[in-house]
Amino acid sequence: MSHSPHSQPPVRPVPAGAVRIACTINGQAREFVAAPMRRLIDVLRDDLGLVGTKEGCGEGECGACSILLDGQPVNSCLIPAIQVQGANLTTIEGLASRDTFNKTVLHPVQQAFLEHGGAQCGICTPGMIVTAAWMVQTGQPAADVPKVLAGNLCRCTGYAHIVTSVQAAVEAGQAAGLTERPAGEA
Amino acid sequence: MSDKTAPGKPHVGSQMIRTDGRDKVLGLTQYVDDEAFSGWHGATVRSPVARGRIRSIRFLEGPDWRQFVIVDARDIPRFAHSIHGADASHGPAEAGQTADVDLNIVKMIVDDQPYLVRDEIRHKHEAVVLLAHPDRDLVRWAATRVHIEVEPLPAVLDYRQQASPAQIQHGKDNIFKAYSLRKGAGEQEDLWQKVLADATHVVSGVYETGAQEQAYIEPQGIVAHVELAPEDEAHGRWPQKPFHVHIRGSMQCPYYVHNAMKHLFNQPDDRIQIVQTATGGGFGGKEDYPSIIAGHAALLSWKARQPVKMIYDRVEDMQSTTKRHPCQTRLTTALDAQGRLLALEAQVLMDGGAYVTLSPVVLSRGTIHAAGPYSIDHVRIDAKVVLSNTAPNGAFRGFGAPQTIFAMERHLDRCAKQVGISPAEIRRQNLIEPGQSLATGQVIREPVALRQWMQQTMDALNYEEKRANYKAFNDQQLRTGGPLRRGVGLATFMHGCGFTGSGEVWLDSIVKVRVASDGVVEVCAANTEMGQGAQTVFTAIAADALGLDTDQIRVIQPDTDQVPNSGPTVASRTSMVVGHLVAKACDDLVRQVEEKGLLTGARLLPSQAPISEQSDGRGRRYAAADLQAALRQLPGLQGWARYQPPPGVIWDDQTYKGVAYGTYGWACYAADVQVDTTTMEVRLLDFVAGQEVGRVLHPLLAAGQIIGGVVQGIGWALWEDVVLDAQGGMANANLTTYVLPTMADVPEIRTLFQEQPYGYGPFGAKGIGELPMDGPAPAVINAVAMALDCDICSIPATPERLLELSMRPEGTSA
Amino acid sequence: MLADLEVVRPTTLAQAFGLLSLSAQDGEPLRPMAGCTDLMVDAHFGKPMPKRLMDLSGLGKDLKKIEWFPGDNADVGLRLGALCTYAQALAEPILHRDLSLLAQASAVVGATQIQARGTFAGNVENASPAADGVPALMALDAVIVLQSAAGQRRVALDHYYSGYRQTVRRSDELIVAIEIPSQSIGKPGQWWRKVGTRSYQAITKVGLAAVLPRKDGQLSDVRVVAVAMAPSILRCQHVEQFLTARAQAQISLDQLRAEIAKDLKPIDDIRSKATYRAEVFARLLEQALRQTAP
Ligand SMILES: Cc1cc2nc3c(=O)[nH]c(=O)nc-3n(C[C@H](O)[C@H](O)[C@H](O)COP(=O)(O)OP(=O)(O)OC[C@H]3O[C@@H](n4cnc5c(N)ncnc54)[C@H](O)[C@@H]3O)c2cc1C
Ligand code: FES
Ligand code: FES
Repeated sequence: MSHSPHSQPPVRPVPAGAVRIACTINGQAREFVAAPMRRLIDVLRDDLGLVGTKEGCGEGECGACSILLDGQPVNSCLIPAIQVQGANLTTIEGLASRDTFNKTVLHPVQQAFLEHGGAQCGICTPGMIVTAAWMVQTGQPAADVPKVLAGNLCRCTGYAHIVTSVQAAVEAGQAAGLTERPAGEA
Repeated sequence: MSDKTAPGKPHVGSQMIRTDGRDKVLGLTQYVDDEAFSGWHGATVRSPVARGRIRSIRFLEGPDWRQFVIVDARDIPRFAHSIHGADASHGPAEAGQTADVDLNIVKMIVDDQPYLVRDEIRHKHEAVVLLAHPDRDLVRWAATRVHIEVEPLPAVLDYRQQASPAQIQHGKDNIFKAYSLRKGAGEQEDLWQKVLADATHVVSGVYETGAQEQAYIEPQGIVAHVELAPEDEAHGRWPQKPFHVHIRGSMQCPYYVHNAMKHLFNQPDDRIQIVQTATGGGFGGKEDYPSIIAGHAALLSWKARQPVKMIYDRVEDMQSTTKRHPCQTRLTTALDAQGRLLALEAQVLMDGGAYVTLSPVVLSRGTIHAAGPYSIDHVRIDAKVVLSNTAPNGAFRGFGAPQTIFAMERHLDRCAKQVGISPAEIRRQNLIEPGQSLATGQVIREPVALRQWMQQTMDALNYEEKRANYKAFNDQQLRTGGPLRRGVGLATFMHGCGFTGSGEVWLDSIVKVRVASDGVVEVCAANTEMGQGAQTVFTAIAADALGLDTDQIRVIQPDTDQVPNSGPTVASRTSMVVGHLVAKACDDLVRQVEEKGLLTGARLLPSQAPISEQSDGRGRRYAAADLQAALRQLPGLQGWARYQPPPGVIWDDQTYKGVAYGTYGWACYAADVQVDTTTMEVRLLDFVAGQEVGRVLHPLLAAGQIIGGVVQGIGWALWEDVVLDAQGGMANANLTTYVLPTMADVPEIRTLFQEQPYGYGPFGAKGIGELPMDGPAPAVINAVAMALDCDICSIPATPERLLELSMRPEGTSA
Repeated sequence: MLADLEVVRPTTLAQAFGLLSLSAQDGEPLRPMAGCTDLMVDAHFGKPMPKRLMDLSGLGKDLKKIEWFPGDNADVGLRLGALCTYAQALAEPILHRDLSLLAQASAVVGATQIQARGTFAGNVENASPAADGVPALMALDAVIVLQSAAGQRRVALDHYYSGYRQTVRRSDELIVAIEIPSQSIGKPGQWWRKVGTRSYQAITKVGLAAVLPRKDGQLSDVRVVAVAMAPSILRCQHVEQFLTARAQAQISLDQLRAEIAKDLKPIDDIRSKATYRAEVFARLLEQALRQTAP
């Protein structure tokens, strides 16, 4: 099979059934056109340039692609684009804030990971941090860290320093009264 | 700027924030698949069977094949006139010398593995055809629309079985490599028999360990860009004029890829550029395999006239890349009445998979570590690694040592039982002391205190008390029909730091430091950051060697156009060997500044202890501000360092005698487990990892390395099981059915460090990366064996296997 | 390929039933999508998919409710809307108080991220023999509410499976709810155990969901549901019969093994072994009987 090296095939056009989707990402209104079953992770990374979200497995197992969808951690590799119509998304890029001098201020969970050795190779880190930030926000007890983060695999750390990082952030969050009451708890 | 005349606080030994940490927690670190890219995407069509001859390749309907670039083995010249000589693995060819070779060979140790199958398929999922297209999803789908028809040939699917003549594919006997090691009476049969005959106890056993997937969370990926000369642009044939190959990607060893590309494309060194992008874990899995992906991506790029990106998805990664070598070890030991080891015989058999790749070196480390950190007068070890028709097995943290250490440590517990002493006691009886020799004859000169270190680990776990309590607990459970059983287990072991024997001399590593235009000192080394903290440790070493702050140091991205070859990032050598070179290169830099007279007026500081036997850390003599001012005047100035072996490291590759490693990390690990006998699920209650690794350069990073390794070891012991299908392909190639531990499956691993500074490591450091992989499996399995009072000799000890074992009649072992 | 799949997204139930019946008539039925934790994995890994799907995420106001419904004797049952997720259910105190079986099962489905998306209805319709929601619901006598343009029907979950990964749902029907009858709420003797490949993100290798109430010291009205022991999740008829009207002291492990063998023929697969499954299931049942004994 040979072909002339210069015959440039056209980049595949947007598929016929593509739909326009509007949602909020990291506090900003966004609109994009995508095939309805396009994976959210591909939309974020390839279409919107939000490459902080990582793909480790593509089957919901590793949690590297975790983001918050309407305030809940989900695996973006399992979400079809059409299901974020009107939704509110937070990715790792949306956690840090800026101070009055426009300098980046780390989210407390990011700060804790930095100080307690929660990130090694860093590939699981965005998913870990997004899920952990949700834990802090929803005021879940520090003792639950292993259970709540069990959907985020890490091959480098053996988890201990991630656990201490998140626990430190959870405790700091409680101390600062940053947390909401967990849903459904009396 | 504060005027610093007093020495600053040292960074080595501090908890400085890792230099790559901020970007990582912000999600800003760019891994290969994150970098801006405009080009095509590649995919690989793989073989469906274990072994066979390709009959035909059919492109099925569906994809518009005219849109694809397609590469197969026929595109690669078979008899190119190589500029590197016929066998460049033994150094570059003499000037002008050329030879006829097949370029379709992945350069490693032995020239047997093709980039793309030319004649004969040797394993399932071997690369046969490459495709490229602008659309990633489309090219991946198209790869499923190519049908390879194969005439099957007899395959070896169980490495433990003797190959039949029709199954021979390598040499006369399918043996990739064999070693034998002899000590004392091991040299002579009659003496050997006498030692055995005089022993009070002779204990034998067969131990098996399974394959293991590295499972770095970032799958493998490479971007290649081949830039052809204008004359070669227009035709589709192999280029005639010199050209450039640029590779970026996830890898451990840029210069391995460099060497491989140089041969594949038959180009001189300076036409190949390899850049390591941020790497999401390696553990050995990105040691040699990236050369293959780089070759594939570059072949596609050449033919497509486009940059080509190849990112494996998880399934492809697990199916086609290397695993830890499965291994069977037969041990026989002779002991006296007190439990002293008189003699040890080991027969080690490893499964190399379909090609040689790194098997000889993996086997070598396994051989040398087989007798453990014990003083045994008479030793006989015969080891071989053989072919099987599975994806090649390769490097994985520990590199052969975990396999043989598992066997020895498990065996020792069985010996203790037979002698009637405790597992701790048999180790006390035999642990090596300064002045005694290892199996290789290497006399230990370091002031090791293994008994004392073992005791510290035991105390931290509360081993003795738990052992007594658990015996009572298990008896009580048995009496009352309770399902729970508990046990504690120990493993004592060592791990040689750096390349084996003369390996480091052969590597001839070089490090450069240079002064950038902003006066910052840049560290140029080929060693890669892949999570272990190499960048941070190099920064701390350079800062302390110069007496500067860390913001005056920059570790540059490994790029073969920019950094000298400081060797691969493997073998626990980066901090100890290369870090040492960083310190020495800093000395060289300061020496040159001195020679230029720019430090004559500098304020002097009180002298400090040297950094090592080879580095005085002369930058620390000067007030930081003065040294900095001098450096700022000398942009472009370079300091160099080249590896020099410590005195007395003499190794004989033929007899396997001598000093195998300049130094070792020493360790004792202890595990505490509970087994639910209803389901045979094992739960870890506690784990203590105690080790002596020289000076600890960064306590948090070191603990992170140890704990990460321990959890990989626990996974290997209990859950991680590579299941092969009928064609030798990985049947559970996904993270659903290949079971990695989650956060909820492991306890918080506790670490203990003993620090005995090593004279030939920077600030006394030794290697640390692989050691933690060696001990967890035997410690855990020894604990499970105590809990269940049964003889477990193979891992992974899945609940299924434990149940089978517990239901077997007495006296048989698994 | 994912990009080739078409999706319709109704925003009212009427639209949804209309679309379903049209597509069923055309012979190209629409595949419903809920949390997509099963569906996206299948689609991404190239499992055969109908070309057109129907996203249910626009039907939240009708299908995402957890509510009470009137039972037979002036008491109430619990109705889980088809889009009810594990996380949503776990936030209901009643689950932990009166339906411990379901609470325990839900808490270890996948992990946090899967629990946030996965639905009970998806679990039921996906028909995996290793599912975790299904056995809990089956042991609680759950009823699947199917609805189409033609009307509603109710099918007991233990009659819902017609073979390996086959259900009785017609292609024009949607699961709209799952009902747990009033008799099951707070029923004593609920016992549940999943033996998975690890603590979370685990596929069940063998599991038991049981309800083992005692009346005057004897077992009565028992439910024994086996997971990953047969081509579909099922109630063990022989075992249930054997247990009924028996007292704890009259039951031995060997008898259980024998009865189980009449109901279940587990197999070897990539995750576990037939012998392991059979033996461990028997041991679990024995443990369940002991632990639920008053
Ligand atoms: C990483 C991971 C871990 C998992 N762990 C577990 C586990 O521990 N235990 C477990 O049981 N499962 C597990 N699952 C499987 C899955 O999460 C569950 O089965 C889940 O309940 C499916 O629900 P869903 O809403 O996501 O279904 P979907 O994927 O949306 O749909 C599944 C099937 O149901 C059909 N369907 C959905 N809703 C309806 C409806 N209303 N009417 C008719 N048909 C419908 C769909 O057409 C499809 O065929 C896991 C999955 C992943 C990816
Ligand atoms: S990539 Fe989504 S869970 Fe692994
Ligand atoms: S830090 Fe590497 S996978 Fe978690």
